[in-house]
Amino acid sequence: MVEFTLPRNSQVVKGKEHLKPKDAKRTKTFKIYRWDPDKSGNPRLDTYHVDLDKCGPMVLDALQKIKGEQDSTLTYRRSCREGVCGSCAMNIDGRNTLACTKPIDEIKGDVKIYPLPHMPVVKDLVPDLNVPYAQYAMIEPWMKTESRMPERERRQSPDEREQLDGLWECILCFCCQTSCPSYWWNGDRYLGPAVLLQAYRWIADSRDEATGERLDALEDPFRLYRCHTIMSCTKTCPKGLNPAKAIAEIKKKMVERSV
Amino acid sequence: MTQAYTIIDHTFDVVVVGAGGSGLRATVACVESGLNTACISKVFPTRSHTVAAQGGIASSLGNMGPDDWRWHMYDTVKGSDWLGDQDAIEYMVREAVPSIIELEHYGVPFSRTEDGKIYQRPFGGMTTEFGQGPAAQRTCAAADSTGHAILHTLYQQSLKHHAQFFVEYFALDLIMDEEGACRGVIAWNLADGSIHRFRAQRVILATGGYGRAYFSCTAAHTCTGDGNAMALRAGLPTQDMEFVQFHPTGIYGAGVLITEGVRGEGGILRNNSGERFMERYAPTYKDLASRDEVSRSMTMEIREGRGVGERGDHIHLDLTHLDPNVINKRLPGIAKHAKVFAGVDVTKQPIPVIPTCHYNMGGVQTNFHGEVVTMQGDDPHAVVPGLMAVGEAACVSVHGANRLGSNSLLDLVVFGRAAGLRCGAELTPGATQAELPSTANDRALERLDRTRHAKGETAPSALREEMQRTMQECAAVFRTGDTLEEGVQRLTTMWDKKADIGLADRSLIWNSELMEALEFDNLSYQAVATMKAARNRTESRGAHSREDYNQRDDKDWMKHSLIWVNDEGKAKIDYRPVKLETMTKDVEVFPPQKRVY
Amino acid sequence: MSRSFEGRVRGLGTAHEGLHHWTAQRLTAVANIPLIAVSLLLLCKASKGGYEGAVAYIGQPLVVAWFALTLVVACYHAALGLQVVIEDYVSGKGAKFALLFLVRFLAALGAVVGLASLISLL
Repeated sequence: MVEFTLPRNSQVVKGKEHLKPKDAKRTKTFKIYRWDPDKSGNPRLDTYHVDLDKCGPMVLDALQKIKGEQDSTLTYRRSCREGVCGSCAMNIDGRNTLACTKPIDEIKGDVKIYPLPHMPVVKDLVPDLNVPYAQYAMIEPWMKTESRMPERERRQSPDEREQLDGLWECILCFCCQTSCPSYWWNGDRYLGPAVLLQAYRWIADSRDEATGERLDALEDPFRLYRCHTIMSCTKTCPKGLNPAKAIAEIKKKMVERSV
Repeated sequence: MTQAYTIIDHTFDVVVVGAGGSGLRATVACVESGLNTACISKVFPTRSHTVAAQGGIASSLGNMGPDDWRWHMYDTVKGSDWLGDQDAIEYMVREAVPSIIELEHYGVPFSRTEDGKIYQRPFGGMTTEFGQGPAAQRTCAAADSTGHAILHTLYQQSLKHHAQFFVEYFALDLIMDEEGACRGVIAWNLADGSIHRFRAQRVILATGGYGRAYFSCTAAHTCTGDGNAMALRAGLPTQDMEFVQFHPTGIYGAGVLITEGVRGEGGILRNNSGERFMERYAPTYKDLASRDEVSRSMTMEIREGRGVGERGDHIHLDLTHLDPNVINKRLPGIAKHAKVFAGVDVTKQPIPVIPTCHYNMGGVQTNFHGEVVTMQGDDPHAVVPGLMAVGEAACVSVHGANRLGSNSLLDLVVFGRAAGLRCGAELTPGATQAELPSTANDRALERLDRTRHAKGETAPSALREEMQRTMQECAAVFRTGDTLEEGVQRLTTMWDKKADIGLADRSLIWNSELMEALEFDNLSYQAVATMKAARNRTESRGAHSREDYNQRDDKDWMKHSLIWVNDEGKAKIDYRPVKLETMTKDVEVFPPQKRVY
Repeated sequence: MSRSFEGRVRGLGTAHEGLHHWTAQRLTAVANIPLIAVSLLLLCKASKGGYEGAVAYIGQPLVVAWFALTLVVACYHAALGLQVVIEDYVSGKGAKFALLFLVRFLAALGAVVGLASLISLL
C-alpha cells in the first residue's frame, strides 16, 4: 500500500554536528543520512563542514575528505570515481545521481545526502540492491540464438549496431529505478526502468533471436505496464540515457506483434 | 579474541576471488566444465575496475587490413622490452582470435565496420610486419567503453550459467596447509558481518592490480591488490613488482584515464609551443609509441620547461582537428570525461593530461595455464598446488617490463579462460576434499580482530596517504638509486607506524573503515615489494627507468625478479630466467633488439 | 522474508496480458476526445428547444446512437483508468479485489442506466 509517511522507526532525527575546520575560508555544509544497523534508534542527519579549498570538486571528494579526516565511520559504496562503475549512486540535493560526477558547486545551500530512496538501508548510504539485481537476472540478459554459430563474428551493420546506443551504456547504478514512483509502490512486481532498459537492449540487438520469448516474459500488467511515463527515470539518469523511451519501444513492439 | 565470530563453511570445486574480467571469464569456464564454482567479490561484479577499460582489446582479426598473430607477438615482445615470456605471449596472441570471436558470440556490442565486422583501431606499439610496416589496426573496440561492454557481457554469461556469486564478501586470507598447498580462502561478508570459510580444490586469484599504492592513479578506489598481498602473506613471491606502468594521458588533477584510443583515432600530444614533440622521440610511430616511451617523453618535455599550464607541469592532448562525428561515434565517453573532470570541450580545446599510474605488470607468478608457481630449491617453476592467478593480479609474464595498450583486456579473457579450462581438465567435479587444517582461520581472524580493535593514535587513512605520496615521489616514471633508497626508508617508517593505527568503528556490518584499513595493509606489502625491487634492479627496462642506470642490461638483468615480503616488511629477492622459447614451432624466438619506435 | 530474492521477483510469473488494457485505455482516450466534444455540441443544440424539443432532438437515431456510444466508451475508459489507480496504490489482496470488482460493477451500472435512460427517451 502506498505510504505517505515514514514508519516511526525510520523517521530521520537531527544528528551530530561536527566541528568546522580551522582556518577555512570557503566551507560548505553537508547533511548526511546516518543509520547504524548495530544500534537501535532512528536514522539521523549528521552535519559536516568541508573546506572547499582543500577538497576536490565532486561530492564524492567531499565524502572521502569527511571519511578520511572527520568521521571514519561514515559508510558508502564507491569505486571508480569516474562515473562508470555505478557504486556511489545516492540521493544528493533531492536527486538520484552519482556522487563522483556531481560537482559540489552545482548545489545551492547545504548539501543533503540520503541513500537511494525506497530501498532497505544496510548502513548509512548503503542500500540493499538485491531485488533489482535479481530482477536484472530474471530478464535473462544474455544473447540467445537458434541459428548455427558462425566461425567468425556475427555480422551487424553500423545502423543495426546504432540501435544499441543509449542502451548498452547503462551502468546498473539504479538511480532511475529508485526515482520511479511506480517502482516505489510496486517494486516487488514492476521490473522498473533500469531493468526494462536492459530488457530492451536485447530486444533491440539484431543478433539476438529470442525477441518473442523476451516479449512474452514482459507481457504482464505489473512487470511492464506499471510504467506510466512519469519520466523521472530519464530526468535523473546520470549517464544521460532514456529508459522511458526504451520502455515505450517495448510497448510498441507488443502492439506490433498483435496487429 | 574479543568477540566470537560467526563462521560459516562452504565447499566448492573452485573458488574464484574477484569478479572483474578475468575472474568472471574463469568462473564461466569453470561452470561450463561442470565444476561447482563460487565467485567471491568485494564489489558487485559490474562495479569491478575492468568496467573502466576504454580503448579496446587486441586481436589480429585483420578486419581493417592485413594482420598476423606473429606480428602481434613481435609487438608484445618488443613492448615488454624482452622481459615477457615468449611461450606465454605466443599462447596469448594466438588465443586472441578465438577469444574475441567468442566474446562477440556472447553479445559484446562491438563497434562495426561498414561490412558488419568488428571495428578495430590503431593503438600504441601495435605495428605490422614485425615493426617494419605501418601502424596496425588491431584493437577491437566498443566505442570508448570496451571494458564496460566486456565486463557486463561476462557477468551476463555468468548469470546464464547460474554461477554462484558471493557479492560484497571481502577475502581476508588464503588457507594454506602444511605442505604449502592452497586449500581455500577466508572471507568476510559485509552485509551481515559473518566470516565464511571456502574450502576448494582450486582457488583462483583474480583480484586485479594495486594502483592505489600511488597517490595519483587511474585505478578505482578498490584496486588494492588484495590477492597479491594474500599470496605474499602465504609466503609466496610476487614477480616483477618494479614495473609499474604510467599511462601517458590521465587527466591532470583528477587522474581519470583518457584512452590511448584517442591517439589511435588521431589525437596529438603537444607541448607549450604547440609542437607535436613525439616526432622527436619516436620518429616512426610518434604519438602511438608504447606507453613507457610516451610517458618518459612527456616527463622530459615538462622537465625541460616545455610543459603547459600556469606551472608548466602538464601536457596537452589535442583532438580539435578531429571530425566531431568521429568523436561522437568513437569517443563519446572521453568527451564526457573531459567535460566533467577538466571542464574542456574537446572539439574546441585540448585536454590537460599527465602520465598517471595505471597498471602493474608485476603480480603473482604463474605459468600460462594460470597455475601459481614459486621457487623450490633451484626450480623457479614449481607449481603451488591448489592456487591459480589470472588478470592483473598475475604475472604470467606476457607484459614483461611494459604492457601494450589493449593487451590487458586480452590478458583477462585469454588467461581467465585458460585457468578455467585447466581446472576443467584436472579436477573431478565433487571430488572429496580433506578436512581443513585446524589452524585454518587463526591467522586471518587474528589480523581482522587486531585491526578491528586497534586503539592507536594514527588514522589508517593518514598512513595510507603517507605511503601513496612516498610511492608517487620516489618510484614514478623516472627513478634513481637515491630516490628509491629514500623511498625504502620512508616505507620502513610507514611500516613501523602500522602498529599504532586506531579505528573508530568496531562493527562488523559494512564496516568500511575496517575494510579500508585491511586494504591499506594489503597495499603496504606491495608498496614495499615495488620499492625494493626497483631499488634492486640497476638497469632501465620498459617502465622501469633508472636515471643512474639508463641502459637496458641484458647481460645481468634479462631475468624476472621474485620478491617475498614478510609480516615485518622485510623483503627477500631472487630471480627467474626469462623464457626465450616459444610454445610451438610455428614461430621463432624474437631475440633481444634495440627498442625504437 | 525467507524466500530468495530470485523467488520473490519471479513471484507468480507473468499474466500474459496487459497489452489489451494498455491499448484499450489509449484508444478510448483518443476516441473520447471527438465523442465528448460532439456530445457537448449536441447537448447545446438540444437544449435550445425546451424539454420537448430536446427530447425530440435526442430521439433522432444518429444522435441517440452517438450519446450511447459516448456513454459506453467513457464508462469503459473510466473503469480502465480507475483499475490502474487501484493496482498502483492498493496492495492488500482483499481490498484490491473488492475495489476492482466495485469499479467494474459501477462502470457497468453507469453504462446500463445511461443506455436505459436514452432508450426511455425514444
